Amino acid sequence: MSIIKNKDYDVIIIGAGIGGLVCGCYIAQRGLKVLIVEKNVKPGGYCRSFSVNGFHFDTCAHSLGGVRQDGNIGRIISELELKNKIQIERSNPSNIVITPHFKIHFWNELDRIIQEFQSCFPDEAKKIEDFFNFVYKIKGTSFSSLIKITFEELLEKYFKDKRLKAILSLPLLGNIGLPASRVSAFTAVTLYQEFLIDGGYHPVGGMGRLSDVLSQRFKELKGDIVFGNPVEKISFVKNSIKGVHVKGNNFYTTEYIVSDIDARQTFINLIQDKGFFDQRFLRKLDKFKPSLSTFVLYLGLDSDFSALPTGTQTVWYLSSYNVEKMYRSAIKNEIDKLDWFLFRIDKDRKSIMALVNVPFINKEFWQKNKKNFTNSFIKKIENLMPGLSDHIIYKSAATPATLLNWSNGFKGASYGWESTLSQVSQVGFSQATPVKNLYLCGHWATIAFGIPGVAYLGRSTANIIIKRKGL
Amino acid sequence: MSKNVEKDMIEMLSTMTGFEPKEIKLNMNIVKDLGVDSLKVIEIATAIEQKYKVTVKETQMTKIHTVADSIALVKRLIEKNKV
Repeated sequence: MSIIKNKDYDVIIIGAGIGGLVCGCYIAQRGLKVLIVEKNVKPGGYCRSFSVNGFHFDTCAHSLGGVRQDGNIGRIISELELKNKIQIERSNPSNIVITPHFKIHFWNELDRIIQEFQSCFPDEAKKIEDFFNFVYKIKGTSFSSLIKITFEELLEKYFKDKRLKAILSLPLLGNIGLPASRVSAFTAVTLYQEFLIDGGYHPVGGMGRLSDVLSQRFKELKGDIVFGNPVEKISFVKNSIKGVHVKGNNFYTTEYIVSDIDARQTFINLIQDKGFFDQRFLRKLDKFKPSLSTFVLYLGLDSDFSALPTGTQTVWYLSSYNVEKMYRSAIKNEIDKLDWFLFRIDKDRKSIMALVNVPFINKEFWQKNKKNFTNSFIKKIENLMPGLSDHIIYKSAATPATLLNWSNGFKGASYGWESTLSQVSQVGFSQATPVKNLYLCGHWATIAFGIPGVAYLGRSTANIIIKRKGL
Repeated sequence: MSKNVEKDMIEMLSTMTGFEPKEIKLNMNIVKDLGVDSLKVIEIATAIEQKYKVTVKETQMTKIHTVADSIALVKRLIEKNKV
Protein backbone atom coordinates (compact mmCIF):
# COMPACT_ATOMS: atom_id res chain seq x y z
CA MET A 1 0.00 0.00 0.00
CA SER A 2 1.45 3.32 -0.93
CA ILE A 3 1.22 6.40 1.20
CA ILE A 4 -1.25 8.84 -0.32
CA LYS A 5 0.85 11.88 -1.06
CA ASN A 6 -1.63 14.72 -1.19
CA LYS A 7 -2.99 14.29 2.34
CA ASP A 8 -1.94 16.52 5.25
CA TYR A 9 -1.61 13.51 7.56
CA ASP A 10 -1.51 9.74 7.49
CA VAL A 11 -3.40 9.59 10.77
CA ILE A 12 -5.40 12.13 12.77
CA ILE A 13 -6.18 11.27 16.37
CA ILE A 14 -9.14 12.91 18.07
CA GLY A 15 -8.42 13.38 21.77
CA ALA A 16 -5.13 13.40 23.70
CA GLY A 17 -6.11 10.96 26.43
CA ILE A 18 -3.61 8.22 27.26
CA GLY A 19 -4.99 5.98 24.49
CA GLY A 20 -4.63 8.73 21.87
CA LEU A 21 -1.16 9.79 23.03
CA VAL A 22 0.19 6.23 23.10
CA CYS A 23 -1.33 5.50 19.69
CA GLY A 24 0.16 8.73 18.29
CA CYS A 25 3.64 7.97 19.63
CA TYR A 26 3.75 4.46 18.14
CA ILE A 27 2.54 5.65 14.74
CA ALA A 28 4.90 8.64 14.68
CA GLN A 29 7.75 6.34 15.73
CA ARG A 30 7.28 4.50 12.43
CA GLY A 31 7.74 7.74 10.49
CA LEU A 32 4.10 8.35 9.63
CA LYS A 33 2.63 11.87 9.80
CA VAL A 34 0.28 12.19 12.77
CA LEU A 35 -1.82 15.01 14.17
CA ILE A 36 -3.52 14.87 17.56
CA VAL A 37 -6.41 17.29 18.12
CA GLU A 38 -7.32 17.92 21.75
CA LYS A 39 -10.19 20.15 22.88
CA ASN A 40 -8.61 20.91 26.26
CA VAL A 41 -5.50 23.04 26.68
CA LYS A 42 -3.53 20.17 28.22
CA PRO A 43 -3.13 16.47 27.40
CA GLY A 44 -4.27 13.48 29.46
CA GLY A 45 -8.07 13.56 29.78
CA TYR A 46 -8.81 12.06 33.22
CA CYS A 47 -5.09 11.43 33.78
CA ARG A 48 -3.96 14.86 35.01
CA SER A 49 -2.67 16.50 38.16
CA PHE A 50 -2.81 20.01 39.54
CA SER A 51 -1.17 22.04 42.28
CA VAL A 52 -2.88 24.79 44.25
CA ASN A 53 -1.71 26.67 47.36
CA GLY A 54 1.19 24.24 47.65
CA PHE A 55 -1.08 21.15 47.57
CA HIS A 56 -0.77 18.47 44.89
CA PHE A 57 -3.67 16.43 43.54
CA ASP A 58 -4.42 13.95 40.78
CA THR A 59 -7.62 15.10 39.12
CA CYS A 60 -9.25 11.70 38.61
CA ALA A 61 -7.09 8.68 37.72
CA HIS A 62 -5.04 8.10 40.86
CA SER A 63 -2.75 5.12 40.39
CA LEU A 64 -1.25 2.87 37.76
CA GLY A 65 -1.05 -0.86 37.21
CA GLY A 66 0.78 -2.99 34.68
CA VAL A 67 4.19 -1.37 35.09
CA ARG A 68 6.03 -4.74 35.15
CA GLN A 69 8.32 -5.24 32.18
CA ASP A 70 5.75 -6.96 29.96
CA GLY A 71 2.76 -5.13 31.48
CA ASN A 72 0.77 -2.65 29.43
CA ILE A 73 2.45 0.41 30.92
CA GLY A 74 5.89 -1.21 31.36
CA ARG A 75 5.98 -2.12 27.69
CA ILE A 76 5.19 1.37 26.41
CA ILE A 77 7.74 2.90 28.78
CA SER A 78 10.45 0.74 27.29
CA GLU A 79 9.28 0.74 23.64
CA LEU A 80 8.71 4.50 23.54
CA GLU A 81 11.98 5.11 25.43
CA LEU A 82 10.41 6.94 28.36
CA LYS A 83 12.54 5.36 31.08
CA ASN A 84 14.70 8.43 31.66
CA LYS A 85 11.81 10.84 31.44
CA ILE A 86 9.48 9.43 34.07
CA GLN A 87 10.03 8.00 37.51
CA ILE A 88 7.36 5.66 38.82
CA GLU A 89 7.17 4.66 42.48
CA ARG A 90 5.35 1.67 43.89
CA SER A 91 3.68 1.35 47.26
CA ASN A 92 3.50 -1.88 49.22
CA PRO A 93 0.71 -2.63 50.02
CA SER A 94 -0.86 -1.26 46.84
CA ASN A 95 -4.30 -1.03 48.48
CA ILE A 96 -5.79 -1.19 51.96
CA VAL A 97 -9.44 -2.07 52.54
CA ILE A 98 -10.97 -0.88 55.79
CA THR A 99 -14.33 -2.24 56.96
CA PRO A 100 -16.03 -2.19 60.38
CA HIS A 101 -14.20 -5.44 61.31
CA PHE A 102 -11.06 -5.59 59.19
CA LYS A 103 -8.12 -3.69 57.83
CA ILE A 104 -6.79 -5.76 54.94
CA HIS A 105 -3.57 -5.01 53.07
CA PHE A 106 -3.17 -5.98 49.42
CA TRP A 107 0.55 -6.72 49.53
CA ASN A 108 2.62 -6.94 46.38
CA GLU A 109 3.69 -10.51 47.21
CA LEU A 110 1.31 -13.40 46.59
CA ASP A 111 2.26 -15.35 49.77
CA ARG A 112 1.79 -12.31 51.90
CA ILE A 113 -1.61 -11.40 50.49
CA ILE A 114 -2.81 -14.99 51.02
CA GLN A 115 -1.59 -14.91 54.63
CA GLU A 116 -3.27 -11.55 55.21
CA PHE A 117 -6.66 -12.82 54.06
CA GLN A 118 -6.20 -16.15 55.88
CA SER A 119 -5.53 -14.41 59.17
CA CYS A 120 -8.81 -12.47 58.81
CA PHE A 121 -10.85 -15.42 57.52
CA PRO A 122 -9.28 -18.59 58.99
CA ASP A 123 -12.32 -20.74 58.11
CA GLU A 124 -11.73 -20.08 54.42
CA ALA A 125 -7.94 -20.52 54.54
CA LYS A 126 -7.59 -23.28 51.94
CA LYS A 127 -10.03 -21.64 49.54
CA ILE A 128 -8.24 -18.30 49.88
CA GLU A 129 -5.02 -19.92 48.75
CA ASP A 130 -6.79 -21.63 45.83
CA PHE A 131 -8.56 -18.43 44.81
CA PHE A 132 -5.48 -16.21 44.74
CA ASN A 133 -3.42 -18.85 42.97
CA PHE A 134 -6.14 -19.15 40.36
CA VAL A 135 -6.58 -15.41 39.87
CA TYR A 136 -2.85 -14.67 39.79
CA LYS A 137 -1.88 -17.46 37.43
CA ILE A 138 -4.71 -18.09 34.96
CA LYS A 139 -3.88 -17.46 31.30
CA GLY A 140 -4.98 -18.21 27.74
CA THR A 141 -8.28 -19.81 26.77
CA SER A 142 -9.17 -20.90 30.30
CA PHE A 143 -8.84 -17.19 31.15
CA SER A 144 -10.99 -16.07 28.21
CA SER A 145 -13.68 -18.64 29.12
CA LEU A 146 -14.24 -16.57 32.28
CA ILE A 147 -16.17 -14.18 30.04
CA LYS A 148 -19.13 -16.56 30.35
CA ILE A 149 -19.60 -16.23 34.12
CA THR A 150 -19.95 -13.33 36.54
CA PHE A 151 -17.34 -12.56 39.19
CA GLU A 152 -20.05 -13.27 41.78
CA GLU A 153 -20.37 -16.80 40.41
CA LEU A 154 -16.61 -17.24 40.62
CA LEU A 155 -16.56 -16.01 44.22
CA GLU A 156 -19.45 -18.37 45.07
CA LYS A 157 -17.36 -21.30 43.87
CA TYR A 158 -14.73 -20.53 46.47
CA PHE A 159 -16.22 -18.74 49.44
CA LYS A 160 -19.07 -18.76 51.92
CA ASP A 161 -18.26 -15.67 54.01
CA LYS A 162 -20.31 -12.71 52.82
CA ARG A 163 -17.80 -10.23 54.22
CA LEU A 164 -14.90 -11.82 52.38
CA LYS A 165 -16.84 -11.77 49.11
CA ALA A 166 -17.70 -8.10 49.64
CA ILE A 167 -14.07 -7.17 50.31
CA LEU A 168 -12.92 -9.01 47.19
CA SER A 169 -15.63 -7.24 45.15
CA LEU A 170 -14.87 -3.74 46.34
CA PRO A 171 -11.95 -3.07 43.97
CA LEU A 172 -14.38 -3.56 41.07
CA LEU A 173 -16.68 -0.86 42.38
CA GLY A 174 -13.93 1.73 42.56
CA ASN A 175 -12.14 0.73 39.36
CA ILE A 176 -15.00 0.06 36.95
CA GLY A 177 -18.04 1.16 38.93
CA LEU A 178 -19.79 -2.22 39.12
CA PRO A 179 -20.61 -4.90 41.71
CA ALA A 180 -19.57 -8.57 41.33
CA SER A 181 -22.97 -9.68 40.04
CA ARG A 182 -22.71 -7.52 36.93
CA VAL A 183 -19.08 -7.99 35.94
CA SER A 184 -17.73 -10.94 34.01
CA ALA A 185 -15.12 -12.93 35.88
CA PHE A 186 -12.85 -12.18 32.91
CA THR A 187 -13.03 -8.42 33.51
CA ALA A 188 -12.62 -8.88 37.27
CA VAL A 189 -9.60 -11.15 36.98
CA THR A 190 -8.05 -8.75 34.45
CA LEU A 191 -8.51 -6.02 37.03
CA TYR A 192 -6.87 -8.15 39.72
CA GLN A 193 -3.94 -8.97 37.46
CA GLU A 194 -3.39 -5.41 36.25
CA PHE A 195 -4.35 -3.25 39.26
CA LEU A 196 -3.81 -5.37 42.35
CA ILE A 197 -1.16 -7.97 41.59
CA ASP A 198 0.85 -5.44 39.63
CA GLY A 199 -0.67 -2.28 41.08
CA GLY A 200 0.07 0.58 43.43
CA TYR A 201 2.27 2.59 41.05
CA HIS A 202 2.31 6.34 40.93
CA PRO A 203 4.48 8.66 38.81
CA VAL A 204 6.66 11.11 40.74
CA GLY A 205 5.04 14.50 40.11
CA GLY A 206 1.54 13.03 39.82
CA MET A 207 -0.48 11.06 37.29
CA GLY A 208 -0.39 14.00 34.88
CA ARG A 209 3.33 13.44 34.50
CA LEU A 210 2.56 10.37 32.36
CA SER A 211 0.39 12.45 30.02
CA ASP A 212 2.98 15.24 29.81
CA VAL A 213 5.82 12.82 29.09
CA LEU A 214 3.83 11.06 26.34
CA SER A 215 2.84 14.39 24.80
CA GLN A 216 6.46 15.57 24.88
CA ARG A 217 7.65 12.28 23.35
CA PHE A 218 5.02 12.57 20.63
CA LYS A 219 6.40 15.99 19.65
CA GLU A 220 9.98 14.64 19.70
CA LEU A 221 8.82 11.97 17.26
CA LYS A 222 7.71 14.84 14.98
CA GLY A 223 4.01 14.48 15.73
CA ASP A 224 1.82 17.59 15.55
CA ILE A 225 -0.56 18.37 18.37
CA VAL A 226 -3.27 21.05 18.54
CA PHE A 227 -4.68 22.04 21.92
CA GLY A 228 -7.76 24.05 22.85
CA ASN A 229 -9.93 23.30 19.84
CA PRO A 230 -12.30 20.37 19.35
CA VAL A 231 -12.89 18.43 16.16
CA GLU A 232 -16.31 19.49 14.88
CA LYS A 233 -16.89 17.16 11.99
CA ILE A 234 -15.41 14.26 10.06
CA SER A 235 -15.90 14.65 6.33
CA PHE A 236 -15.92 12.05 3.59
CA VAL A 237 -15.50 11.80 -0.12
CA LYS A 238 -17.12 8.83 -1.87
CA ASN A 239 -17.47 6.89 1.40
CA SER A 240 -13.80 7.35 2.24
CA ILE A 241 -12.47 9.54 5.02
CA LYS A 242 -11.41 12.93 3.70
CA GLY A 243 -10.44 14.78 6.86
CA VAL A 244 -11.49 16.56 10.02
CA HIS A 245 -12.84 20.04 10.63
CA VAL A 246 -11.33 21.61 13.72
CA LYS A 247 -12.93 24.58 15.50
CA GLY A 248 -11.47 27.84 14.23
CA ASN A 249 -12.08 27.01 10.59
CA ASN A 250 -9.22 24.58 10.11
CA PHE A 251 -9.53 21.55 7.89
CA TYR A 252 -6.93 18.76 7.74
CA THR A 253 -6.99 15.86 5.32
CA THR A 254 -6.00 12.36 6.41
CA GLU A 255 -6.11 8.71 5.47
CA TYR A 256 -6.94 7.28 8.89
CA ILE A 257 -8.77 8.65 11.93
CA VAL A 258 -8.41 7.30 15.45
CA SER A 259 -11.02 8.49 17.93
CA ASP A 260 -9.96 8.57 21.56
CA ILE A 261 -13.25 10.19 22.57
CA ASP A 262 -16.77 9.01 23.40
CA ALA A 263 -18.17 6.59 20.81
CA ARG A 264 -21.50 8.44 20.73
CA GLN A 265 -19.75 11.75 20.03
CA THR A 266 -17.78 10.06 17.30
CA PHE A 267 -20.61 8.25 15.52
CA ILE A 268 -23.54 10.58 16.22
CA ASN A 269 -22.07 14.10 16.39
CA LEU A 270 -18.96 14.03 14.22
CA ILE A 271 -20.36 11.89 11.40
CA GLN A 272 -23.40 13.42 9.79
CA ASP A 273 -23.99 10.73 7.18
CA LYS A 274 -25.62 7.83 9.02
CA GLY A 275 -25.43 5.67 5.88
CA PHE A 276 -22.24 4.10 7.26
CA PHE A 277 -24.15 2.31 9.99
CA ASP A 278 -26.77 -0.40 9.82
CA GLN A 279 -29.78 -0.26 12.13
CA ARG A 280 -28.27 -2.83 14.48
CA PHE A 281 -25.23 -0.67 15.07
CA LEU A 282 -27.29 2.46 15.70
CA ARG A 283 -29.56 0.55 18.09
CA LYS A 284 -26.53 -0.72 19.97
CA LEU A 285 -25.17 2.80 20.21
CA ASP A 286 -28.49 3.95 21.59
CA LYS A 287 -28.95 1.07 24.04
CA PHE A 288 -25.45 0.72 25.45
CA LYS A 289 -25.12 2.02 28.99
CA PRO A 290 -22.28 4.24 30.17
CA SER A 291 -20.47 3.54 33.44
CA LEU A 292 -21.13 5.58 36.56
CA SER A 293 -19.57 8.99 36.95
CA THR A 294 -17.42 10.07 39.90
CA PHE A 295 -17.39 12.73 42.59
CA VAL A 296 -13.81 13.68 43.47
CA LEU A 297 -12.91 15.64 46.57
CA TYR A 298 -9.61 17.49 46.96
CA LEU A 299 -8.58 18.42 50.50
CA GLY A 300 -5.55 20.36 51.66
CA LEU A 301 -4.68 19.95 55.34
CA ASP A 302 -2.54 21.90 57.73
CA SER A 303 0.57 19.95 58.53
CA ASP A 304 -0.35 19.26 62.16
CA PHE A 305 -2.96 16.62 61.52
CA SER A 306 -1.60 13.56 63.27
CA ALA A 307 -4.58 11.23 62.69
CA LEU A 308 -3.61 10.95 59.01
CA PRO A 309 -2.91 7.33 57.98
CA THR A 310 0.63 6.64 56.78
CA GLY A 311 1.64 5.53 53.31
CA THR A 312 0.69 6.60 49.80
CA GLN A 313 -1.38 3.54 48.87
CA THR A 314 -5.04 3.69 47.87
CA VAL A 315 -7.25 3.25 50.93
CA TRP A 316 -10.79 1.93 50.53
CA TYR A 317 -13.51 2.30 53.10
CA LEU A 318 -16.61 0.12 53.14
CA SER A 319 -19.22 0.76 55.82
CA SER A 320 -21.19 -2.47 55.34
CA TYR A 321 -20.73 -5.66 53.34
CA ASN A 322 -23.43 -5.00 50.79
CA VAL A 323 -21.53 -3.82 47.72
CA GLU A 324 -24.54 -4.66 45.53
CA LYS A 325 -26.63 -2.19 47.53
CA MET A 326 -24.03 0.57 47.11
CA TYR A 327 -24.26 0.11 43.35
CA ARG A 328 -28.06 -0.03 43.34
CA SER A 329 -28.20 3.18 45.41
CA ALA A 330 -25.95 4.87 42.85
CA ILE A 331 -28.05 3.89 39.84
CA LYS A 332 -31.23 4.86 41.71
CA ASN A 333 -29.74 8.34 42.34
CA GLU A 334 -29.82 7.80 46.12
CA ILE A 335 -26.57 9.60 46.64
CA ASP A 336 -26.98 9.94 50.42
CA LYS A 337 -26.79 6.13 50.73
CA LEU A 338 -23.36 5.78 49.12
CA ASP A 339 -21.37 4.63 52.10
CA TRP A 340 -18.05 3.67 50.60
CA PHE A 341 -15.17 5.70 49.17
CA LEU A 342 -11.51 5.54 48.42
CA PHE A 343 -8.75 8.03 49.04
CA ARG A 344 -5.08 8.59 48.46
CA ILE A 345 -2.75 10.80 50.49
CA ASP A 346 0.06 12.53 48.67
CA LYS A 347 3.66 12.10 49.74
CA ASP A 348 3.53 15.63 51.22
CA ARG A 349 1.11 14.23 53.87
CA LYS A 350 -1.12 17.27 53.36
CA SER A 351 -3.00 16.68 50.09
CA ILE A 352 -5.84 14.14 49.98
CA MET A 353 -7.92 13.13 46.98
CA ALA A 354 -11.00 11.05 47.76
CA LEU A 355 -13.62 9.71 45.40
CA VAL A 356 -16.87 7.81 45.13
CA ASN A 357 -18.81 6.67 42.05
CA VAL A 358 -22.03 8.60 41.62
CA PRO A 359 -24.78 8.82 39.00
CA PHE A 360 -24.66 11.60 36.43
CA ILE A 361 -28.32 12.71 36.92
CA ASN A 362 -27.80 16.11 35.22
CA LYS A 363 -25.55 19.17 35.33
CA GLU A 364 -28.00 21.32 37.28
CA PHE A 365 -28.35 18.69 40.00
CA TRP A 366 -24.65 18.75 40.72
CA GLN A 367 -24.40 22.53 40.53
CA LYS A 368 -27.09 22.64 43.20
CA ASN A 369 -25.84 19.76 45.35
CA LYS A 370 -22.06 20.10 45.09
CA LYS A 371 -21.66 21.91 48.39
CA ASN A 372 -23.91 19.60 50.42
CA PHE A 373 -22.35 16.48 48.95
CA THR A 374 -18.87 17.84 49.67
CA ASN A 375 -19.75 18.39 53.31
CA SER A 376 -21.41 15.01 53.80
CA PHE A 377 -18.46 13.31 52.05
CA ILE A 378 -16.03 15.01 54.46
CA LYS A 379 -18.15 13.76 57.39
CA LYS A 380 -17.89 10.20 56.09
CA ILE A 381 -14.11 10.45 55.80
CA GLU A 382 -14.10 11.82 59.32
CA ASN A 383 -15.29 8.41 60.57
CA LEU A 384 -11.84 7.16 59.63
CA MET A 385 -9.93 10.31 60.57
CA PRO A 386 -11.62 11.97 63.55
CA GLY A 387 -11.06 15.71 63.68
CA LEU A 388 -10.31 16.00 59.96
CA SER A 389 -12.59 19.04 59.44
CA ASP A 390 -10.57 21.19 61.85
CA HIS A 391 -7.46 20.73 59.70
CA ILE A 392 -8.85 21.44 56.23
CA ILE A 393 -7.39 24.65 54.83
CA TYR A 394 -8.22 23.97 51.17
CA LYS A 395 -11.14 22.12 49.62
CA SER A 396 -12.57 21.75 46.15
CA ALA A 397 -14.41 19.08 44.23
CA ALA A 398 -15.08 17.71 40.77
CA THR A 399 -18.65 16.55 40.12
CA PRO A 400 -20.02 14.52 37.20
CA ALA A 401 -20.64 17.89 35.50
CA THR A 402 -16.90 18.63 35.80
CA LEU A 403 -16.03 15.22 34.35
CA LEU A 404 -18.37 15.93 31.45
CA ASN A 405 -16.55 19.22 30.82
CA TRP A 406 -13.17 17.51 30.84
CA SER A 407 -13.98 14.57 28.60
CA ASN A 408 -17.27 15.31 26.85
CA GLY A 409 -17.92 11.62 27.54
CA PHE A 410 -21.54 10.43 27.64
CA LYS A 411 -23.06 11.31 31.04
CA GLY A 412 -19.65 12.14 32.49
CA ALA A 413 -18.89 8.40 32.58
CA SER A 414 -15.74 7.49 34.50
CA TYR A 415 -14.89 4.26 32.68
CA GLY A 416 -16.45 4.53 29.22
CA TRP A 417 -19.15 1.94 28.60
CA GLU A 418 -20.26 -0.03 31.62
CA SER A 419 -18.27 -3.30 31.61
CA THR A 420 -21.28 -5.46 32.41
CA LEU A 421 -21.30 -9.11 31.37
CA SER A 422 -23.81 -8.46 28.59
CA GLN A 423 -22.07 -5.37 27.20
CA VAL A 424 -18.65 -7.01 27.10
CA SER A 425 -19.61 -10.50 25.91
CA GLN A 426 -22.03 -9.54 23.15
CA VAL A 427 -19.10 -7.97 21.31
CA GLY A 428 -19.61 -4.31 21.99
CA PHE A 429 -17.62 -1.59 20.35
CA SER A 430 -14.25 -2.76 19.12
CA GLN A 431 -11.34 -0.71 17.81
CA ALA A 432 -12.29 -1.26 14.18
CA THR A 433 -15.58 0.46 13.33
CA PRO A 434 -18.15 0.21 10.52
CA VAL A 435 -16.47 3.26 8.97
CA LYS A 436 -13.51 2.25 6.86
CA ASN A 437 -10.22 3.58 8.30
CA LEU A 438 -11.84 4.90 11.48
CA TYR A 439 -10.74 3.31 14.75
CA LEU A 440 -11.57 3.73 18.45
CA CYS A 441 -8.74 3.65 20.99
CA GLY A 442 -10.10 4.89 24.33
CA HIS A 443 -12.26 3.31 27.01
CA TRP A 444 -15.30 3.64 24.73
CA ALA A 445 -13.99 0.61 22.86
CA THR A 446 -15.65 -1.86 25.20
CA ILE A 447 -12.80 -4.16 26.10
CA ALA A 448 -10.57 -1.71 27.91
CA PHE A 449 -10.73 0.18 31.17
CA GLY A 450 -8.26 2.10 33.28
CA ILE A 451 -4.98 3.65 32.25
CA PRO A 452 -3.22 0.31 31.47
CA GLY A 453 -6.28 -0.72 29.44
CA VAL A 454 -6.34 2.35 27.22
CA ALA A 455 -2.53 2.29 26.91
CA TYR A 456 -2.91 -1.25 25.57
CA LEU A 457 -5.61 -0.13 23.11
CA GLY A 458 -3.53 2.82 21.91
CA ARG A 459 -0.58 0.54 21.18
CA SER A 460 -2.75 -2.14 19.62
CA THR A 461 -4.62 0.32 17.35
CA ALA A 462 -1.33 1.86 16.23
CA ASN A 463 -0.05 -1.61 15.42
CA ILE A 464 -3.05 -2.41 13.20
CA ILE A 465 -2.71 0.89 11.30
CA ILE A 466 1.04 0.34 10.86
CA LYS A 467 0.29 -3.10 9.38
CA ARG A 468 -2.42 -1.67 7.15
CA LYS A 469 0.09 0.86 5.85
CA GLY A 470 2.23 -2.15 4.95
CA LEU A 471 5.02 -1.17 7.36
CA MET B 1 -19.91 -25.25 4.23
CA SER B 2 -16.12 -24.98 4.08
CA LYS B 3 -16.35 -21.94 1.79
CA ASN B 4 -18.66 -20.36 4.35
CA VAL B 5 -16.17 -20.95 7.16
CA GLU B 6 -13.51 -19.21 5.08
CA LYS B 7 -15.80 -16.27 4.37
CA ASP B 8 -16.96 -16.04 7.99
CA MET B 9 -13.43 -16.17 9.39
CA ILE B 10 -12.22 -13.46 7.03
CA GLU B 11 -15.26 -11.41 7.95
CA MET B 12 -14.44 -11.90 11.65
CA LEU B 13 -10.82 -10.84 11.18
CA SER B 14 -11.99 -7.87 9.13
CA THR B 15 -14.39 -6.73 11.86
CA MET B 16 -11.66 -7.13 14.42
CA THR B 17 -8.89 -5.29 12.58
CA GLY B 18 -10.57 -2.98 10.08
CA PHE B 19 -8.66 -4.65 7.23
CA GLU B 20 -11.09 -5.01 4.35
CA PRO B 21 -12.04 -8.63 3.55
CA LYS B 22 -10.37 -8.35 0.14
CA GLU B 23 -7.11 -7.23 1.78
CA ILE B 24 -6.99 -10.35 3.96
CA LYS B 25 -5.07 -13.18 2.25
CA LEU B 26 -4.98 -16.79 3.43
CA ASN B 27 -1.19 -16.83 3.82
CA MET B 28 -1.14 -13.69 5.95
CA ASN B 29 0.28 -14.06 9.44
CA ILE B 30 -2.34 -12.95 11.94
CA VAL B 31 0.18 -11.32 14.26
CA LYS B 32 2.80 -10.02 11.85
CA ASP B 33 0.61 -8.96 8.93
CA LEU B 34 -2.73 -8.13 10.52
CA GLY B 35 -1.42 -6.58 13.76
CA VAL B 36 -3.47 -8.91 15.97
CA ASP B 37 -1.81 -9.27 19.39
CA SER B 38 -1.90 -12.19 21.82
CA LEU B 39 -4.89 -10.81 23.69
CA LYS B 40 -6.83 -10.60 20.46
CA VAL B 41 -5.87 -14.14 19.50
CA ILE B 42 -7.76 -15.09 22.66
CA GLU B 43 -10.65 -12.92 21.46
CA ILE B 44 -10.62 -14.75 18.13
CA ALA B 45 -10.72 -18.10 19.96
CA THR B 46 -13.66 -16.90 22.08
CA ALA B 47 -15.48 -15.64 18.99
CA ILE B 48 -14.93 -19.01 17.25
CA GLU B 49 -16.24 -20.85 20.31
CA GLN B 50 -19.37 -18.70 20.43
CA LYS B 51 -20.09 -18.78 16.73
CA TYR B 52 -19.50 -22.47 16.04
CA LYS B 53 -20.37 -23.88 19.50
CA VAL B 54 -16.99 -25.61 19.78
CA THR B 55 -14.18 -25.59 22.35
CA VAL B 56 -10.77 -24.25 21.41
CA LYS B 57 -7.94 -25.68 23.48
CA GLU B 58 -4.94 -23.70 24.59
CA THR B 59 -2.59 -25.91 22.55
CA GLN B 60 -4.68 -25.46 19.40
CA MET B 61 -4.70 -21.71 19.85
CA THR B 62 -0.93 -21.42 20.01
CA LYS B 63 -0.72 -23.20 16.63
CA ILE B 64 -2.72 -20.53 14.81
CA HIS B 65 -0.26 -18.47 12.81
CA THR B 66 -1.86 -17.68 9.48
CA VAL B 67 -5.40 -16.90 8.38
CA ALA B 68 -5.46 -20.34 6.72
CA ASP B 69 -4.49 -21.98 10.05
CA SER B 70 -7.49 -20.41 11.77
CA ILE B 71 -9.84 -21.58 9.01
CA ALA B 72 -8.39 -25.10 9.08
CA LEU B 73 -8.80 -25.25 12.85
CA VAL B 74 -12.45 -24.21 12.69
CA LYS B 75 -13.14 -26.78 9.99
CA ARG B 76 -11.49 -29.52 12.08
CA LEU B 77 -13.47 -28.52 15.18
CA ILE B 78 -16.76 -28.52 13.27
CA GLU B 79 -15.99 -31.95 11.80
CA LYS B 80 -15.11 -33.28 15.24
CA ASN B 81 -18.38 -31.93 16.61
CA LYS B 82 -20.33 -33.84 13.95
CA VAL B 83 -18.85 -37.19 14.96
